[in-house]
Amino acid sequence: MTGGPQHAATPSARSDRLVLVVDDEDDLLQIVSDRLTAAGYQVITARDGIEALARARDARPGCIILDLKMPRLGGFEALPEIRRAAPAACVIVLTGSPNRPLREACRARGADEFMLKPFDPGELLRLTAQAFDRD
Amino acid sequence: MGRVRAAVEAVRRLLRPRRSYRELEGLEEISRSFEAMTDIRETYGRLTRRLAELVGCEKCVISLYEAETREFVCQWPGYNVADELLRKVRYPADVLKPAWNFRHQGPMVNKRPEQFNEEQRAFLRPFGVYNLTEIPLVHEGRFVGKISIANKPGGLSENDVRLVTVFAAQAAVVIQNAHLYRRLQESAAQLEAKVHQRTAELQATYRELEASHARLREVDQLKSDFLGNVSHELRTPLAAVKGYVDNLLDGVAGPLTDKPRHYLSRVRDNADRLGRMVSDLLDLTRIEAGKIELLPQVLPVADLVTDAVDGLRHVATERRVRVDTALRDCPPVWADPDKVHQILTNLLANAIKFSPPGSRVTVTSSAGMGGLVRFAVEDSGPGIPATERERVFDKFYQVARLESERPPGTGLGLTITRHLVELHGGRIWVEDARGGGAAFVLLLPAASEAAA
Repeated sequence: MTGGPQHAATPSARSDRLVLVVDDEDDLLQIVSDRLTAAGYQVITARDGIEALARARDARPGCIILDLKMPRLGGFEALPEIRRAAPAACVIVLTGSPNRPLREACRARGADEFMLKPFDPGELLRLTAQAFDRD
Repeated sequence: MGRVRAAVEAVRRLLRPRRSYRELEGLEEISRSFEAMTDIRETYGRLTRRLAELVGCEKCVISLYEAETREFVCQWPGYNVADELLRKVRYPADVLKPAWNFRHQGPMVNKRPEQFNEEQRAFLRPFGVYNLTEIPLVHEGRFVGKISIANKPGGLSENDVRLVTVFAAQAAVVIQNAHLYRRLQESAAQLEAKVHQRTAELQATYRELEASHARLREVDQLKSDFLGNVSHELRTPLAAVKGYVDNLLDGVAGPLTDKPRHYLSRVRDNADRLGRMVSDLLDLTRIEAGKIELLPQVLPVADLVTDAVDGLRHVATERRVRVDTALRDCPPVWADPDKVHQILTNLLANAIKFSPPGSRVTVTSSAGMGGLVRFAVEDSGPGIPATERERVFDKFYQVARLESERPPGTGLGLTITRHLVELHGGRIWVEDARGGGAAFVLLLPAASEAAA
């Protein structure tokens, strides 16, 4: 699912158009990966915080889409480490909770953006594009 | 006290020629000191002792008459008679007949054992009596008992009998008082015991209530947890369905022909509706369980309306419905921003949904009466018949609309809206809109009033 053919619509595909998608739900990984791949991004995935840390260190993605609740190590818990592992990446937290204090806490731990589940595909693409535009 | 004085005066008049002054003083003192006596045993002890001293007899006992059983009940202590002989001793009131008939309320004076029959002698034997005088105790015309005086050397004189008779009248009062006082004390004790018992019962009830309350809270918590979990469990697959369908519709998996595209858009609409129902059900359950907590703030009305209208701008544009606002000067409201947004969004979405393309929806706000702010959302739809205006707020109630091709709602939106409005202490109802459609009118408390 992470492979996917490079889309023709992204002639300027650089290695920094790499997105790490972290979620314990296979369906969500597939939907997001396919959508991003179709939009010309390279996508790698992880199913929990520990995997995510390893991928972030090795691959240095420009954007990380991070679920908060996962087995072994949740996104919330992993946030500071991920931030250190990939200081340049834009971290988009994907959460089912509209809870404001939680958002503030995530921001304090290094999150840049928030996306509420079920996510809007338009917003996914907008926030991802923004992640790579800012540098 | 007046009664004592009068009695003593009477005795004085009666006995003056024959009784020494000292004795009369003694009688007065006795009467006075007895009048205030409240302890029943002390009363009998002192009465019998003073009487024995007064007449110079060997033994003295007071017995009370019990009308229900027609028995005498010996009272202890007596004078010079063992308590064991008196305690719990009761005997027929006619035991000394015919020598003494208590019904005549007169005394029996200086009777010797040989004047009684064998049975009566047997009855008297334990008391060691050789000379017996019985003086009735009469209180308010009622025979209440007797004083038994025994073994005065040489027997009681006539004057002794007169003295004892007067003393007996006083003693009857004293005894009645003491008994009344004891009954009062018993009642008080019973009352206190009852209060203790009731208090204990109340405490037990309270503990039970607390326990059942705790159980209810636990059940309630389980229900909330369950709903939270169910909601999460439902949302996750729904999100997957929606995600895949969105990907398909947006050509992520390749181009689509018309028929699959149409089918998929129906799948998406229904998945969306299911998603809204899950949220609405969760909302309603929270509201009905009292789990919704308002975080009210001072909110400028114009911002609230603008936010709601902006949020639905794309829906309105899609349906070619114009949304106008007419915001007159009014105080800010005191409300929870998220909830008011939900209320206004719900009303506005309904209005847009039921207004035909090319028509218009109007949102107005103004200062209402009594510290309230009035909002109205008017649509250009078919309107709501007067008979259905109350029922539109019922759960799952859908007004039978002429045009039925509109996507159905969850049937919970207006119920939730009304609950949220009422949580704020506001009101909501339906009127006719000027253009013939429906107008949902909403009153919310103004900040100046609520914050005061």
